[in-house]
Amino acid sequence: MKLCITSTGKDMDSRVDEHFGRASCFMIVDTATMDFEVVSNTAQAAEQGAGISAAQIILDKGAEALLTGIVGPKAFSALRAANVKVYEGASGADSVRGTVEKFNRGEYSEASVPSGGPGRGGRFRGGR
Amino acid sequence: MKEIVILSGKGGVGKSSIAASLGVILADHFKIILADTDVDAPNLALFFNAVNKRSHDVSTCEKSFIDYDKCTGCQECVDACKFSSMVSINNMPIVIPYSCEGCGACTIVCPEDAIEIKKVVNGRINIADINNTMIVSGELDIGESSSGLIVDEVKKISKKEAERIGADLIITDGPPGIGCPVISSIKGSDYVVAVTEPTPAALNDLKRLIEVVEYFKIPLGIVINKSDIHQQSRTAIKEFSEEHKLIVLSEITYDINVPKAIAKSKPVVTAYPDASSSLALIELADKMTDIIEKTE
Amino acid sequence: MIGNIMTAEVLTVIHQKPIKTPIIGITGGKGGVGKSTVAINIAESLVQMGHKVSLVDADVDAPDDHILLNMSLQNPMDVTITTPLINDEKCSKCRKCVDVCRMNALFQPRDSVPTLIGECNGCEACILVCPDDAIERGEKAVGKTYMNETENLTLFTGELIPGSEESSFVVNALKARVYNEANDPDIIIIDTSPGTHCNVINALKGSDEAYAVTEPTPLGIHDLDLILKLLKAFQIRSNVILNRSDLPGVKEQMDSVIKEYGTRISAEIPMDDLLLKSYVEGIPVVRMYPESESSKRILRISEEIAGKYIK
Repeated sequence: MKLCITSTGKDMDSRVDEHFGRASCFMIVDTATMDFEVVSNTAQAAEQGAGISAAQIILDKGAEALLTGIVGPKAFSALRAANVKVYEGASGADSVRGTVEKFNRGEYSEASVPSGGPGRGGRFRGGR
Repeated sequence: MKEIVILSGKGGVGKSSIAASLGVILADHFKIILADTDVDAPNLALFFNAVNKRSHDVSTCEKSFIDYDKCTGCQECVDACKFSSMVSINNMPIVIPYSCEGCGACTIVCPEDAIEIKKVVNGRINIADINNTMIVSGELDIGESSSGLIVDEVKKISKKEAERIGADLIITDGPPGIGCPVISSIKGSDYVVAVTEPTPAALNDLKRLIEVVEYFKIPLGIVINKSDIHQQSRTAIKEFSEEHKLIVLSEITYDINVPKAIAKSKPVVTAYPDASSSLALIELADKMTDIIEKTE
Repeated sequence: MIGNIMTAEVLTVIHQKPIKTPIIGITGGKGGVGKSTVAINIAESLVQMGHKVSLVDADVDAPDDHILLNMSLQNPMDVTITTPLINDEKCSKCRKCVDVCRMNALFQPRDSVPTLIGECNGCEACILVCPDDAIERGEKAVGKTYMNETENLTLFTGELIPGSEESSFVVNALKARVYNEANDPDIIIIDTSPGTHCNVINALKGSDEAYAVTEPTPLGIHDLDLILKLLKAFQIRSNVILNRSDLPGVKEQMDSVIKEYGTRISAEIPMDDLLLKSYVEGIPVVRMYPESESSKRILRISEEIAGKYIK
């Protein structure tokens, strides 16, 4: 499947970036072949709604699932509205490649609620 | 690395004064950084002799700019603006920058493509060395908005500096109220110290503040400052705390040495170490130390 | 930023108001210096003199005037902003609304119409850009205004919904309500929030004069400098009220700031136990202890205001 992993760098040995909305870039990886596409995260600099913008970016690039450290509730709602599966708990200590391998071994479970708490979303939105 | 944020809801209850003194005492036990996120009126640095000041501008908002070479005065933009920020003067549109939110509605309706949305400087981050630590403060330019985003910058930079110098604790003097800058101050912190005073207005604002902090599931403790100025309100606060299972960390009685110290631009624990408030603050710092060491 | 385009013409437009009633702003950069206490007492003493007063609590983040007056807020009206409601049938899924939204609040799932997920700020850019006329106007409440009417004092209050960011809508709606519903008062007193951000300006717009309340401490002076700078930029005549004037302070610094802005200290109010007693009772000191030192000083300010503005 096409899995999006948030990354700090542009190759499979880069470390995972634990935040979704503000990630340095996205790696869209074919979990079967390990082919990948690097997508820059133009939402990173967004003052508002970075998570939602990031969700739109990866959706447009065909992601079927997202694997990252933390997802805020707004981004989570957006991804679920688009039927993109969300997996949390990826670690910044691991490489993108290592994380995909762990994913293929079933080491991450799908999140039904975002663990990111209110994050930048929710009733009490920060910023501004 | 942990962060304690000091908030109050009501302004003027002694937040900055307490933050300054706690900073001094806790610096004995931890390597700390002080941060001031009351960007509207940052006062924390006034308690210290700040040297080696450096600052950089921040831009956390955007505004409309009209190119009058292209503008034909059709004034579609004036009608489109929902923030009363486009006014008509002598049949030409003029942007009122202080209220412009940079939403871009004007750019959509402009038939001449004469309007651009650009980032503008709306404040700055000041860093200074004080005693054996540093203070990172944010400052919003007068009349500006988007203070919450400047607070985000202060938090980001104080974390960065803390990592750089190996600090294990950030003490943040937060803003009054419960608006966006307060929310930005709360996020990502490990503990909130809610300072209040025994008056009905302060208790009212404390309740509003607690609602916000609890939403973020951050542990909180209450400090009742000038605790003996009104017995009835003091009791009301304590009853409220009990009902809501909130811990009262400290009750500091009114101490004339506090304003005396402020007049000298020093924390009370520095200027009058034997004052009753200083002793209460030292006890409070002990409690905070236990709490910090126990927080995940 | 502020200094740039504040020409006389722009200031005239900013200060426009639909009524002729004089407006006095009570402000002061630092929180907790006694601004609201002074505001309610000025209002109350003007009423005692026989005048009809509208008091406006524009500290929408944490309005306290009703507490100081022991009133419970009445006559609520919602303050709302427009949010987009996308009509499935008309929408061509062109994505223009998603792209134009600077809050990044809209999201378009594959093969579906955009949906509002993030925080909308009511700018209506999406409605303007939609080529299919497919976006209808929905509403979201961001706060409330209230009006408490008594015989000679009417209190207008604005309150932001905690967590909402659209405070400027609430302050502006509050001013609009005052202009609409104030029943021909002799004078309007506006109590602003602390600070110097744009909502202090929104509250002060249209004021004939402002009183900046401060205290003589280094903190008070630092923040007084900021509010005086703001008042000067908006060309609102300023006066300073020095509250808790006998707190240990730094007189030279205060005098120097006063001189720099060409303003004046119109009153010094010393620390007063009676003021505190009345404050916690929710009764204005000028009513509870009219003979107290603070009452006398506040009365003089009100006499000055009445003499100048109420014929």
